[in-house]
Amino acid sequence: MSQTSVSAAPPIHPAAVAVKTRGALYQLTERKALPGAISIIGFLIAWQLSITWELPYLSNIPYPKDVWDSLYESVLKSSYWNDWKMSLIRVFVGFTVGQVVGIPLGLAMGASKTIKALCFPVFEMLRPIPPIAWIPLSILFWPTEELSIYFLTFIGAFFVIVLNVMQGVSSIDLSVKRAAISLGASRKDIFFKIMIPGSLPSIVTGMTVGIGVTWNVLIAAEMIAGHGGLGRGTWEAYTNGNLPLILVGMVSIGFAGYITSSLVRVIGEKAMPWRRKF
Amino acid sequence: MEKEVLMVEKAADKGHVVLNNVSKCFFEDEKKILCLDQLSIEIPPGQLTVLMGPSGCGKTSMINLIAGYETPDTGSITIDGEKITEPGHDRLVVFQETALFPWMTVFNNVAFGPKAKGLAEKDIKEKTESILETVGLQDFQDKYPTQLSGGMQRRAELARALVNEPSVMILDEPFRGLDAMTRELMQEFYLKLFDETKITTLFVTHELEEAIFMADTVIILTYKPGRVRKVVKVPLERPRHFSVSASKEYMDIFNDTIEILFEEAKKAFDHDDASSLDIIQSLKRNSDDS
Repeated sequence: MSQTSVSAAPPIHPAAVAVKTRGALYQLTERKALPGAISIIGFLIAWQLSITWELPYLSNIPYPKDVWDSLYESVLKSSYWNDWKMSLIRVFVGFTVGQVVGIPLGLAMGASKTIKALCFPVFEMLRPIPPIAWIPLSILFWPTEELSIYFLTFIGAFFVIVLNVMQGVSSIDLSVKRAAISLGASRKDIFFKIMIPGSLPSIVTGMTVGIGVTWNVLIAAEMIAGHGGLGRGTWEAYTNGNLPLILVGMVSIGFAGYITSSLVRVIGEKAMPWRRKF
Repeated sequence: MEKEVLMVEKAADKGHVVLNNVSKCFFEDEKKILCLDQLSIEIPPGQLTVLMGPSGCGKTSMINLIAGYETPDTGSITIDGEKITEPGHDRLVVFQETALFPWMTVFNNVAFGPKAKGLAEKDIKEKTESILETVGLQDFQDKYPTQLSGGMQRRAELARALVNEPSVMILDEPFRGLDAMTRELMQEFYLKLFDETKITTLFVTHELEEAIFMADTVIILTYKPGRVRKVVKVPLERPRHFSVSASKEYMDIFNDTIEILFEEAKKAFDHDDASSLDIIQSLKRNSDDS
């Protein structure tokens, strides 16, 4: 019996196997890794050459090798990691408070016309002010430097998330809401089972954009007002005329922003299993 | 199986919808447009009533009124003698575009109504699983709507409504957008369900073939404002098979109806209502076939 079923299976064509293996390899090497490597190596070569060839205005930039050495030195110092820690805490506090205050406000404004009519005019008056423009007032207003930086990062995340959540609530399909009402959903059901999950994609978008804005504001605030932090570290490298260290600071800030926004994205994907690509 | 028998008893004498002199206006660019004009229609219980007419005849408004999403300007709508004032689960709509909750699994979509009613956990599970079996989705209950094919989504949506044992099912062009094959299968599927349960149904469609194949009565509305143009009885025997479309009775009804429909669609077309092309195209296709 088993004999027949084995022989009954169609023989696997050797060419098919070859195509399959090549497919997997192709994905790994030629599709992604190779162009990625070419792109980065090409950039490093262009960087190196623009200095050796003394291209106008570019010759003052440190060599990639110097930056690498400076980075190597930095990661061995505890002050470098302390800068990371301070910046991450500041982003985390401001961003989190922004979500905790902003998401409910956005939901409320999206759900209730009355609340929107009451809150939106003030919101729209303050929203166009760039978060960085809040720096002087914030320094004067808050008793400690740390609090004023928390406040600034909060501003950076807050307006973005409120606007996105509000838009997310109003983008929920009318027929979806009507279906829920017909099926006997209470107001509470509508809020928790329809409005919140329905606006979740917008919440995640708002958070992803918001974390980027938060880093922007943080770096500016640290350069002007802060003690410690990656922004301050970069600024101090500038005042000391340490060019490679400036670049180390920039790279670190970019990397920190990348890590945090990836984290937000992963959390977002986890929270929305129905949005996974199948 | 047991459940279906239960529904036959309950459904057959429920869901008598009467529209009495119903008028409805809506505003478009500050202009008041009369949408339904003193419409009086009866949807008899235990029957399948099909509503046809060009876009702009107020079919969607009528559905919104019966479902209770909107209220009529004049006149009244009653179901089993009671005036309709708000949405309720005795009248459930299956919408044109899918209105499944994308963030819930098929099971949770279907269980939404029973949960909202506060049934016991055990009953919810039993009811939901039994109805999912009826529509053939028992193996897909843990999938999300986006993981289903178009036809399966429609069946999930039917299940979500049916599990609440509504008095009336309102289907607003439910099979629009499905490919021809799936569409026919869905028509057959719903007819079988209807034959078993005799659940009062209001079915809106653009396709005359679909209308005659499914209906006990076809109601044709006029283009702006919506009035009853003609009521066509379809006395074809049930259960019906697709071969019925070759019978003389079917052809007679078809030929009686197509002229009137074409006239109304033409009116819409002359008013530059681009969406009227929908119905003209489907009519043209039908008359080419015959």
